[in-house]
Order: sequence, then C-alpha cells, then structure tokens
Amino acid sequence: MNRWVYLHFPHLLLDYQLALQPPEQSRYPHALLESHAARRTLVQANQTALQAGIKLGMADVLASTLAPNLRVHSYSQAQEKRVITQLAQVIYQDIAQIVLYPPQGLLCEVRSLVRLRGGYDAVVARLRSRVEQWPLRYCLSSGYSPLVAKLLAEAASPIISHDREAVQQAIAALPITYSGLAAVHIEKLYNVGFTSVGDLLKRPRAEIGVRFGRAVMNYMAELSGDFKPPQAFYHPPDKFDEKVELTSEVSSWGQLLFPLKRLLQQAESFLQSHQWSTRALVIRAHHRQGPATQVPIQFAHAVWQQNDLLQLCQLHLERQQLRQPVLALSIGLQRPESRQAKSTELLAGAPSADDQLSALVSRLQARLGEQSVQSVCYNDDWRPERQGRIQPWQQGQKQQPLKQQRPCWLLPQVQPIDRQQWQLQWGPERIVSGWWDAQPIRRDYYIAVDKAQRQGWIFHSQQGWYLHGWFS
Amino acid sequence: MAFPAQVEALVKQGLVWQGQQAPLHRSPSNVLTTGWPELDQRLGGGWLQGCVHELQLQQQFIGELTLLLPLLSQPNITTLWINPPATPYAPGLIYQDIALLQQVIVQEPDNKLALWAAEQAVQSKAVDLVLFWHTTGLSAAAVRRLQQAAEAAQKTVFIVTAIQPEDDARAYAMRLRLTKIAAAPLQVEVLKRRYGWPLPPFPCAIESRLPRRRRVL
Amino acid sequence: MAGLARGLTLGAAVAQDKRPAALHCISNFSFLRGASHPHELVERACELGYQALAITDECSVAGVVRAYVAARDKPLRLIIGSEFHVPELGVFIVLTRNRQGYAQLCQLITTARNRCKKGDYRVSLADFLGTLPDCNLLWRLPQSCYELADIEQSVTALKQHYPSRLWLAYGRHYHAYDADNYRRYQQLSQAHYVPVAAVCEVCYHQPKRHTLHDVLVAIRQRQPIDSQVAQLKPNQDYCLRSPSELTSCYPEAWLAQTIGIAKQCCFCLSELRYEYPAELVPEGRTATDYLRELTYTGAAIRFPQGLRSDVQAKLEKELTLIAQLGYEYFFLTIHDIVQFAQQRGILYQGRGSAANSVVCYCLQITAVNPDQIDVLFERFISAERDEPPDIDVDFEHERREEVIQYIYKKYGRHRAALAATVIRYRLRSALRDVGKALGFHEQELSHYLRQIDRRDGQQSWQEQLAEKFPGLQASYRGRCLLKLTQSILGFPRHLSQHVGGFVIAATQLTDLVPVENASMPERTVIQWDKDDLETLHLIKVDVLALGMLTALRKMFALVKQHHQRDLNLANIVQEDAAVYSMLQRADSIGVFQIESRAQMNMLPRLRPTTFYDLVVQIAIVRPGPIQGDMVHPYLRRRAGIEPVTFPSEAVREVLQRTLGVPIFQEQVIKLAMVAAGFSGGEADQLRRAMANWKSSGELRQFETKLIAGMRERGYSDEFAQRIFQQICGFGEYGFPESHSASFANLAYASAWLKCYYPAAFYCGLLNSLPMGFYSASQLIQDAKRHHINVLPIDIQHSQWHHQLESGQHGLQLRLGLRLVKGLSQSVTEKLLSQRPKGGFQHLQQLRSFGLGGADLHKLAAADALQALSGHRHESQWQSLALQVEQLPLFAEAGGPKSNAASYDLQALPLPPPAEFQDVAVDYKTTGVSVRRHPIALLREQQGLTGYKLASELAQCRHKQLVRVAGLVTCRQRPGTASGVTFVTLEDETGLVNVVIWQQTARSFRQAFLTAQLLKVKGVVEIHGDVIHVIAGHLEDGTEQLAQLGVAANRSRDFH
Repeated sequence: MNRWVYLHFPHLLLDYQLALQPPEQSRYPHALLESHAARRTLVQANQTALQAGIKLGMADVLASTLAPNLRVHSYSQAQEKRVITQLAQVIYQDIAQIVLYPPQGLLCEVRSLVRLRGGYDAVVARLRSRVEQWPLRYCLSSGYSPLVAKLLAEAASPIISHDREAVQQAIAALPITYSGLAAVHIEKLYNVGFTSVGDLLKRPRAEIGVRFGRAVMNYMAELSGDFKPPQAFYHPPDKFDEKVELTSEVSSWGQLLFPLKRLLQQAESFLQSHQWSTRALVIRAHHRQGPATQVPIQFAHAVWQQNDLLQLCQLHLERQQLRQPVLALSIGLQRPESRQAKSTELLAGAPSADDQLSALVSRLQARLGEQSVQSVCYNDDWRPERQGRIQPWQQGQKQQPLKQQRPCWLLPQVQPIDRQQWQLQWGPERIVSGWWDAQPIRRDYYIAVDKAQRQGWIFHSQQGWYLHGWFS
Repeated sequence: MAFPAQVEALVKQGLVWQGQQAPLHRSPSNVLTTGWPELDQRLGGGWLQGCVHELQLQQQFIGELTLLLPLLSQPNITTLWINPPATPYAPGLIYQDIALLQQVIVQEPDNKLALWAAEQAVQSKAVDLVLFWHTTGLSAAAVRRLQQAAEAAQKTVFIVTAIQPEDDARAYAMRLRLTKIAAAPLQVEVLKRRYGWPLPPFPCAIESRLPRRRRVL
Repeated sequence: MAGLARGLTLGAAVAQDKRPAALHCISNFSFLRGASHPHELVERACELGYQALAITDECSVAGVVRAYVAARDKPLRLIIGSEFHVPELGVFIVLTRNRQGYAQLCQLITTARNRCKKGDYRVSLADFLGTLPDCNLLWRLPQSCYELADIEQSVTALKQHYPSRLWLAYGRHYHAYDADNYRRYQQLSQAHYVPVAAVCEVCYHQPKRHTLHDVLVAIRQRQPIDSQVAQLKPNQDYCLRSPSELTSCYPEAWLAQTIGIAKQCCFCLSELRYEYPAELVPEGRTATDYLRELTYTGAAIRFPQGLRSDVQAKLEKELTLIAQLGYEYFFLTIHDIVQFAQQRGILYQGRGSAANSVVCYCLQITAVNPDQIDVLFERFISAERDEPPDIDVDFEHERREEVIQYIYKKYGRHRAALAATVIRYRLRSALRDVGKALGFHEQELSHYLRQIDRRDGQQSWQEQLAEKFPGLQASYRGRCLLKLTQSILGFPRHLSQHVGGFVIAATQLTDLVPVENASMPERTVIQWDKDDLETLHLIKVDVLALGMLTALRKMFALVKQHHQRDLNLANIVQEDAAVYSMLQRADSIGVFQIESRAQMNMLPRLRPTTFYDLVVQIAIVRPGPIQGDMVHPYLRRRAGIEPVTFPSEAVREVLQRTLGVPIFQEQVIKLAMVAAGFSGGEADQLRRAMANWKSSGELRQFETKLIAGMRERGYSDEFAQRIFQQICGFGEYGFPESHSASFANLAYASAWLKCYYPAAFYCGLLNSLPMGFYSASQLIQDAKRHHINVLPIDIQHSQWHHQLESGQHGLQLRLGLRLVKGLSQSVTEKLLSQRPKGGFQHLQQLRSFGLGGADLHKLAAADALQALSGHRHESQWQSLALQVEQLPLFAEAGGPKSNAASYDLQALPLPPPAEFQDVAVDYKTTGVSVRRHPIALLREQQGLTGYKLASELAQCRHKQLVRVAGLVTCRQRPGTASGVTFVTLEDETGLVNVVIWQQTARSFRQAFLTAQLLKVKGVVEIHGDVIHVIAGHLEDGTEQLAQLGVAANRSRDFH
C-alpha cells in the first residue's frame, strides 16, 4: 500500500496572486521573474503566457519581445512560503499528518485514513476537492516513500494508485534529469550512458559508491525506502494573523474586496479547525511608506463564518477613507473564544507615559485638533519658503542645518511692496533653484529698512518687489 | 508678621492675593537674566520666574523677539508659542542658536481655548517658557489666573499685546512698553515692576543680534 | 578700500587693457563637476570680450588641448592651470607662467594622482612649498574657517615660497555670507600684505547650463536630485559673467589684480612642439639627411630595376616637404620599430595616411606599391593642414606584446606610455544616469531604452521616445529628461587606456603631460588622448593587433614544413586567375575582409579579376557606398549594361579606375580639386567635414562652394548635385583607398593560400582563433566541403595545436587537444612530450605521467581516449574509477576484490552512445564534431522529408517554391536594409541564404527569434551564382533537435 501522497504546485505564487485579482486579469500573460547577477529569468508563468511561447528559464527581455503585453512581477520565495503554510492550514481539515516542503510542496500521509474514508480512492478524491477550492495548478502523485512521491509529482508524471508495483515502474522510467540529484552527479551519470533512474538502480550499489560517492549511495537507499529520513509534521498556529501582498497598488477599499474575501476564508478555516469564534478583528492596509492604516472592528456577538465576517467588515469599511494607495492587506483575529464556554477578559493596562512633551502635545491635539499644534521644521532646499516650515507635530529632525543669516519671522504669504518705501541695506543674495520639480524661483533677496526703520527681508523677482520676512 | 491661623490656611491655599509681596521670603535666585545688561539693571536682575510679564508694542516687529532671544536660546529651554503674528522661521532660529525640537507652536483663534492651552503648558513639567501673542490684551481675571498658575509652577510667561490704556490695572508682575523712533535704538519704558517705581523710557541696544545697519548705499 | 588696493599693487603694472580675465574655470574634464566643454568656455569668453581664460580642471590638464584648439585663432590668451582641493585650506589654483612652470605643474599632478587609485588624488600644503617656482598660486579660503589664527602659519609659509606670486582668490556669488567673506579677505590681506584678486568660480559657460550642473552633482552622489539640494549651488552665477556685471560686483582694484596675474602667465602649448627623442639619429648626423639615406637604401631594395623618373620625382617631393615641416622623427621612430619586427620575424603592415607615400614604401613601413594604386599626396601630408602624418602599424595579435616591450625597453617607462581614450556618455548611459538623478525607476528607463532603434537614421532618439511615449513629453520631468540627456551626450566620464596608441617623450614624460594610474594594476595612462597628441605634433605611434597576420604566418610555416616552399607576403604569385575564379564562386569563407555574408553575395556580382577589383570589393560593401547608391551603377557599368561616361577629361582621369563612380574618399577629394577648383587643404577639410557631417553643419557651406566651382568649370548642375549627394552618402563610412589597398594585400594572400594549400590554410586559421567571422565548427564544415579529411582528436596522435598529417590522397587535418574546453595547456603539453613512440598503453599510464583526474575526465568526455578505453561511456566509466579519492569504505563494500581490480571489471558492459548523442556531446565538450552533421542525422530519421539540400538549390528553377531546413548560424539586420533580416542556415551540404521580410518575421515571431533549427517554406531566387530563399513560412524545429539531444552552439545574432 503506497503510504504517501505528494502535492506539487509548480506556479503557486503566481496562481495565488491572480486568484486575488478579478478573473479577467488572467486573460493577459503574467509571469514572475527572479534576478541573480544581472540575469533576469522567468520562474513562473500563467497559461496565456505559456501559450504565447514563453518558457520557464527564459530571459525577461526575450519573453517581453515574444509577448509584448507581458505583465512581469518579481518572485519572492518568502511570500510563496507563507502561501504554502496557508494551504496546509486548509488541507489540515481533512488530513491529520501533513509535511511542509516549502516553497511549492506538501506531503500527506494517507494510509491511516483509508479505513476512515472508506478506500484509498475516496481519501484522494476528498483531498482533491479540498485543494480545488483554490484555482491553483497542481500535480498529485502517490508513492511508497516520500522521495518517490515527490519526484513523480515534480516530474509531472504522477501515479495515483495504492499498488506499489505501478509506482516502481514509473520511478524506473523517470529521466535522470528529474532524479532530484545534484547537477554534477546527473551530468556524470548521463556521460556514462545512464538516461533513466532505472539504469542507475540496475547497477550494484558498491560500483556506484566507488565512482559517484556517498551522496548517490544514500539517494538510492532513500529511493528504495530502506532509509526513512524523519518527517517534521505540520501543527496549525494558535493565533491567526495573515497578510496578503497585492501585485499592483490599490487606492480604494472597494478594490480590496477580493483579497479581503480570501483572507476571511482562511480565518474561517482557522476558527473551524480550533472550534473557535471571535468578537473582534483588526484590518490593516499597508502603504509604501509610513505606518499601516488600522481599522479595528468589534462584533456585537461571537461569529466564525466567512460571510458574517464579510458583511460586518464591509459596513465598517464603507465609512473609512484611504489616505495612500495600498500595497498589502492583513487581518488579525483578536480575543478568539471557544464556541461553548463564555469567558471574560480584562482590558490591557493604560499606555505608559513616555515623554511628557508628547503627552502635553497629544492633550493639546485632542482638544484643539491635530492641525493646530505644530513644530518648526528645517529641510534642505534653497527656496526659503521650503527651507523653513511649520508642520503638524512630528518628532525627529533629519537634516544637518546650514547656518546662514536669515530673519526669525517669515510671512506665510509674500506681500507686494512699494520699492520707494524701503531703503536697501545689504544684498543681493541671489537664489535661482527648484527647476527640477516644476516650481523654479529666481529672486534677489535684500535686507532693507522700512519707513519705521524696521529691518525686513525683501526680494526682487521678475514679478516685482515683495516682503518675505522680518528680522525683529 | 504672622497672620491669624485661618488667614494662614487661606494663604497656603493661594486664595489670598497679597498686595505687597514681602521680599523677605522671595529669594532673588528665581530671577532670569534678560541677556541685556541695561535691562537687567533696571528690572532688578532680569525676568522673574513664576511671573507673567506684559510687553506692549507700539508696532509689531520692532525688535520684541530679539529682546527675548537670549532667553529663548538658553540650552534646555522648551517654549510654547501661542498665536505668533507670523511663521517662526527655522533657518533664522538656527542662526540664533535656538533648538527647533524644543519649540511648540499653537494656532488657536478662540481666546478661551488659547488661554486653556497656556495654562496646560504652564502646568505640564515639559514647558519652561510661554510666549502668548494677544492683540487686544487679556482680561484682569485671565491675567490673575495665569499669574497664579505660573507662580505655582514657577514658570515664566510673556504676553505680547498692543499699547494698553494707562489706567487698566492688571495683575502682571512686570509691564514694559516698547517703542521705535526713526533710526534710534529700541526705547523700553518700564510701566510696572515688582521691586520699584515705573521708569521713563531708556534705549536698549539689541543691534548685536540683528543684521549690521549700514549708512545708506 | 581703494587706498589699500593701490598700496598693494606691488609693482604689477596697472593694466590699461580693462578687458576681464577668468582665472578659475573647470571644464567637463573635471569629471562630473564641470558642465561645459572646453571649447564652449573659450567661445563664450570671446563673446564676452575676455582677454584671457584659464582652464583649471581638478588635478588634471586633460581638457587644455581641446581649449587650445578652440582658442588657436581667437583674440583670447589661454592660460594652462589646475585646481587642488587641499584639506582644511580650501582651494589652491596653480597657473603656469612658462614652460618650466608647466613641467612643474605636470610633475605635481603626477605625484598627487599616484598616491591613490584611479580617479582620485591627495595633496597637502607641503606639496606646494618649493615645487612650483615658475607658477602663480591663487588661494580661495575654505568656507568654514573663521578665525585667521589657524591659517596663520600656512600664510607665512606660502608667502615665503611664492614671493609676489601669491594672491587670495575672492569670489562673490551673491550668497548670504558674502559680506562676512569680504571682510575676512580684507583683514587677512591687510595683516599679511597678500594682495586679493577677484576670481569667480566658473563651473559652466552660460547660466542656463546650471540645471545640467545640478544633475552632475546628483549623478556623482548616485542619489536623486531632490535629496541632494544642500550640495547644489543656490543660484546660476557660477558662469562666465559680462564685464559690466564684474565691475558692479567686485572692487576695481581686485579686478585689476586679476588682469595683472593673467599678464604674467604666458605659457602656450605650442611650445611643446619640437621635442623629439634624440637617440633615433646617430651622432653628428641631422635627421633630414639620415632619413634621406635610409629612404634611398630602401628604394634600392624595393625597386631592384631602379627608380622610374616619376617615382623619383614623387620621392623627392615627399622628402623636401617632410624636411620643411620637420616630421623626420615620425618616420624614423616607425622605421625603428618596423626594423625590430623584421628581425624577430613578426609579420606587420603599415596603413593609414602613410600608405599614400613612396617614402614609407621604401622604408618598408607599408607593402602597398604606389604603382598599384594612384597615390594621393595631399592625403599624406599637406603644408596647409600642418598635421603630422598618422601612421598605424598592424602586428600579429599574438606577438604584439613583444613590440610593446621593445618600445618600453628602448625609451624607458618614464618616457613612453600608452595614450588615453576618453570614455564619453553615450545614449544608454546618459539616459540611465540622468533618469536616476531625476527620480525615474531603473525598469522604466531600461524599458524606454529598449524601444529606441539607434540605427534609425531619419528619426532622432528624442522623436522616437516622444512618439512612443507621449506621456513622457507631456510631463515636466519627462521634458527635463529629454533635454538634459541630449546635452550630457558626449560628456567625458573617465579616462581609460588606448589599445595601441603610444606617446614617446624627448626627456621626461611627466614634463610633457601628467601620468596617472589606470584601472589595471601597475599600468599607467597619460591624461591626453590621441587627438590631443596629434594637435600638439607629438610623436604618436599606433601599435595595433591583426589576427589575420598571425594566421598567415602559421600558414607559411605549415607550407614550409609540408611542401618545402619558402613563402612570404612579398613573393606570392600576384594576379593568379585560379584564385580569382575561386572568389567569383563566392568560396571565400576564411579569406580576410571578404568572408562576411554581404561580401559573399557581392563577389559573384562584381566578379573580381585583378588586385584593384579586390581593393574595390573591400570598400564597396560598406554603408557609405550603399547609402550613396554607388553599388548598382558600378555593377551595371562593370557588367557593360550601362555605358561608362565621364562629363569631362579631368573627371575621367580621377574616376577611370572605378568606371566613373566615386567609391573612395581620395576620389572625392580629387574630384573637389579637379572639378570644383578646391585647393589641397580645402579638399582635405571637406574630407574632415565628411567624417562628421551629421553633427557639424560644415558640409552645408561646402555645398555652395562645390556646386559653384563645378558650374564654373562647365559641369551640369545635375552632375554637381549628384556628386554632392554621393559625398553626403559617404558620411563617415567613406573608406580610404590606401586602407582598402593594405587590406586587399592580405585578402589576396589568404585567398591564394586557400586556393593552393587549403589544408595549411584551414590549419593556420584554426590555430589562430578566435578571429574573423566564423567559428571553428563552421571552418571545419567548410574544410570538409573542400574534401579535406578531418581526423578527430586522439590522445595517440594529436598535439596541443591542430596538425597536418600525410594520408593516401594528400594532407589530412588532425584536430588538436586545444579544442577540449577547460583542459590546461601546460599539463597536456607535458603529457604529450612523454608520449612513447607506439602511444600510451592504458589510462593508468596517463595518470602516472601527471595528468590530473579532472583533465583525464575531460579527455574521456571529449572522446579522445577511444584508442585506450573504447567508446565515450566506457572511457568515462573507467576514468571515474581513477579519480584521486579512493574511499576505503567502498573498497571492501565491493566484496573481496581489491580496488586494483576495479578498473578491469567484467560487470555488464555499458551501452555505446547513439550517434546523435555522440554528436551532441562533441559540440558540448569541444565546440566541433567531425561526425555526421545533425541535420543529416535528422534527415536519416525521416524528420525532414520534402526538405531540399543546400546543394540542390542550384538546380531549382528561379521563383520555384521550396522547403529548406538548417541550423541557424547567423542572423543579420543591416541598418541600410529597411527592416529585412538575412539568416544563414547550415546543413550537411552547405549554407542557405534566407531573406525574411519584417512582416514574415512579425507573424512567426517566436520561430524567428529563438529557433536553433529553422524550417523555411519560401521562394528560391537565382541570379547567376547568387541564390536566395525568400521566406514565406517559418517553423521552429528545435524540438526535433532536442529529442536528438543535440544543442547546436549559439548562432551569431544581430551583431
């Protein structure tokens, strides 16, 4: 009886990302590329891209000439690992013993479930239906040892049967290049005429050991099942905080609905596997810079189904306003409680008082509004109105300021003046700058004295004479 | 001289305003130098900690800020500016060695809220100095409340207003009037001070902190 | 204030000439700091009416020669100088007063640069004390220091070393601190009696160039511009200012000081002219008569039957002109090097303008007999142009290093060095750097770059971008990108080493030009490039490498060894009919210069029969003649379809040899002289304008002059206009006849050898790879098509290099072990030297002779050990057993047999590889295969039913529908053909030329771009011997190859 079943997802991350986007997106060719040492090759591609003649391992320049409207994103192994763990959580509802083979594989022990589900094929069918909830391309194969199942699935020549004999034939026919051995070994084996794994298995193990070393010896033992490496089984986490990366920036909550549904679907399977329900969750929208926008949501009663969660979240989100485009979305379940017993919990302690000044500022902001409490900021720019500004309160001062003679007061708006009223004392200081962001200035600044002998800071530009600041 | 027991209790609660603070239990140590010798000498040592001072300006931007610059540029002085007449300009403050991180600016058109903010600042341990621009001048009650809060927390407060009518008595510890006539240096008139009689206007040379004046080009 | 200045003029005459002088200007040769070219600064200074301009790049004089050229005929005195940033002391500006001062400055720059790696330098105050007695020093105080105390000792030290040659350089650029600065300079000047001069800091020539200057700052910091604002200048006043602005900005006295300083600096670069290495001329002899003696001894050898009178006259004319212009040393230097090459038997060949002179022919510098081509003396030297002759000499590329070492040994490393090349901004690097500075993303920029077709003549790159990306043009930032990228094009980025241009100094190189470190270890480079050296008439020798010369020497050696004939370039039989008929059949693979695809198409149409035809053949297949559409008229006239007419007798004499069609640059010059009355010098200026007609508009003004001249002499306007169009068509591609003649010499020699001694020809070529147009595999295919038997690599017979072995019918080519990829030459040659007479007995013996395990395995994989251990699988199986580390664990695990027995095992035998597997591994391990051609194997397996052989195409009818298939060996899309791509397919019988129109390429894009095996359905076109297949349908057959396991080597695409 073949004890193991291996699930291999060749284009896992790309399929997952496309699943988060509206279906018409997958009409376009998509691909993920990996770049190492200035060489950028495609590692995953969707169906439309493959039909256009794009092959994995092809340079991205060539691919974009083959399919001009190719949409390319960069591959990230870390993201794919997170997806495979989420998948394991989904399958955990049917299969007790799962082993993670990140980033694209899952090994399941099925023999123990045959009696429970009534037959080998029933177990496999149930597993298939669970996996097919997600629109991911996969290949499923059985095997008498983990390595065998893995090789057959990854070589896309699967065998689904409990009969050990059929699997042994399949492995023997496997081309040597799919043997999972190190490239250097594969080349040596190929050079002496071994084209399939079977050719290798036919030779006596000692002869192989002398010529190819210990690694190939162990490989043959593992393949035949004599040597059983320990498997680290998967255990579902006890708290739920999942994040989803979006392929393109999104600027409204409406567009976030699709990924939100996926996340809530995972939340439901998490709660279901623990027999929990929840009273509160927080939705975080991550931006390119700055902190994420947090939307805490409380529920009147404990819920766990996806559609209940979705309705309540939509109510809250409609009222929210998004300040910046969103790059990623995450959901954290708070205060999960077991469905039967009701438990009460104390609120966490008050925040510790850090710096008295920011305490005073937050008190003033609370009463007078955020906009009315400001700090004085210096930034590196020759244009006076940008060099010194007062902005809503923020800590930190990054630039190393330049010490120059400047007035202590600056008028928020420059005031036109009558040149005769003023006597020039010193100048000009000429400032011509800012051409790169379409607001260039060209001014000659002077220190001058008005009728009342007050020292002001005036400038002359093409438009005329203006007062910009006072020295008092 | 000791007061009767009940009166002593009232004084301790700070509810009794004493017309003539006996100098004996106010040590001169809580005096802040103004940075200008001729001013220190006339104000009995400088500004008073724990007091509200009033600066009446004949006209804005005639040097009132420069007068306060030495105090503002002390190393660890945190200042709250309430309703400044224009934008405090970072490069200018840096040139006068003022630490930008220790300045907080509040813009609050509503007088009551502005006063509340001033009191909050005085009471909080974080702020050492409050500059409060008030075009029309505070009411007597407001000044007294502010004076008590400043005294309790030993903070220094400045109210910068326009010229006030002579006869309006206010609970300020010190009242100065600044005027500027032609090219002459700034004229300072002490209307009221704690340890002496009012003084006629005298010149205060604050040019060292201002750009060099040149004969007409 | 004025009182002080008067007291301090210290005797400098108060200048009457009030015109200003700029003493501190950096050009864009201060890399990424200056924002203007040297010539822009000079032109602007003249516009503004300056009397003097100092080019003071940062620790460099790289830009001064360009400025010198621009200022040569202008009323402006150019001052040579340099600026140094001295830590804590601000900027020292050094201005040279005379020739010694200039030498001292070069010495200082050299020492400063040699302290650091490339592109950097370090100086301290001590470097300026006592080292620059003949220079003026201007000191610009650092911005930071306020107290005078800490620069106290520096001032006293400087005053002591620079008596009345030290000034404080005050620059006012309308900053907030100008007032304080002014007071500081005044106090220092009064305290130490050091005069102050008004010296602006000039970083660009016009105000509007400040935007580019800001971008350069951002590029240098590799940051976007808005994060670098503190480093940017606050305004645009770091430029040359008008005299009125200067007088209103600076005190009168300080301006006068500047003019006084300028008066003292009188060094001019022309003083470097007559400084030649003396040892070339023996004691007591003058250069002129020594050269005359050498020339006449040479003439005796070159013309054994005596000098004809016209040649004699030409010789005398040349010698007198050389003497008059003082260029003897150029010829003596080259003659000396060429003598050395002759003694060592190194094949060489002189070309360039030298090939136009009889003197060079007599001095054995060139091998082109002046009778063979009509020598144009003006192209050689012209009194008017006053430019030294540029003489390039090609040497065998494997022995060029010997010549270089000879030069270093003869003149010493301190007197000879390689010239620099200035690496400049081209479109790709410019758009990328400027884009990043303006905050564009990397991917976005490379996307734009991919869309620009640089070969598109009509549309400039900006128009292409604006058309394809309207958004770019619309956005402000986009417009900045386009504008600034255009203005940065051509800016120098850094100095790198020229491949073969040598400069030789009379005494010390560092008196002539500073020397700095190149990127390669212990290699030095001077700060001037070839053009600079040429401008200053300094000795410059080009020592270049040519692969074909190496191949020819090896061929001559093989012919001597196997045919006992002593051949060399001179004694090859000229004008041999068999050679020309071979070329007419386009059988020119491997022949120098005429082996490319386009040349093979032209040979059957031009049908060369004489040496001059070869000279034309080499020159005609170039973009110039093609664009000027001179090819078809010439071919029609040659085939006699079109009558050969000449508008006048004078034109006949010029264009007679090319049937009335101008093909060579010399002909255009002569036409201008003969038909339009140009003088020799003017004609050469026309040639120079032709060379860069796109960028400079000079050609336009020649148009009116040319047409007027021709109309005067009675030529029709139509003829004049056609000639002018042909000149524009030439542009920079017009090929000089002298170059073409030198190349034709080698082309004929290699063709002769291919015709008479093919075995030696292929063996010599293969041993000189990599060179030429074809890979080893394609040359071997061509050899087999010429019935040369090619024997595989064999450990028992092969040497390291390819050899010739005698067989039943003629010589056979034995492939050498050098083809085995990754094999170490030294170990292999040691092994081969110990090979016993009868050859090796078994693999173990190879190991005992010192062959490493890895090398043994490579030989096994390359199937070279067949004699010892059978087919490829067997030999690799055995070689694996002989790897060094014998793990004891497996010895006994293999049962009682000792490990000695493990290599003569009787285990079940390994299956031999199938033929197609062998071919595949042959290509992988050696790049070539002597087994059957992969296409032949595929055809045998019925994979290509209905597909014609390359050789069968000749029998097809014109316009017949055919199907052909082959390995893609070359894809070519010449700029001149509008969108057509030529693809060469190779099968077992030969090559097929396929023509693919743009439309077909687009509809079968995938097959067109990536196919290795291409199957084509199309129409065959036959014009005489020229056969093409016009592709209608493309199919990618690479899958079939994959099943065969053959991955043919990569094709040579779109080069």
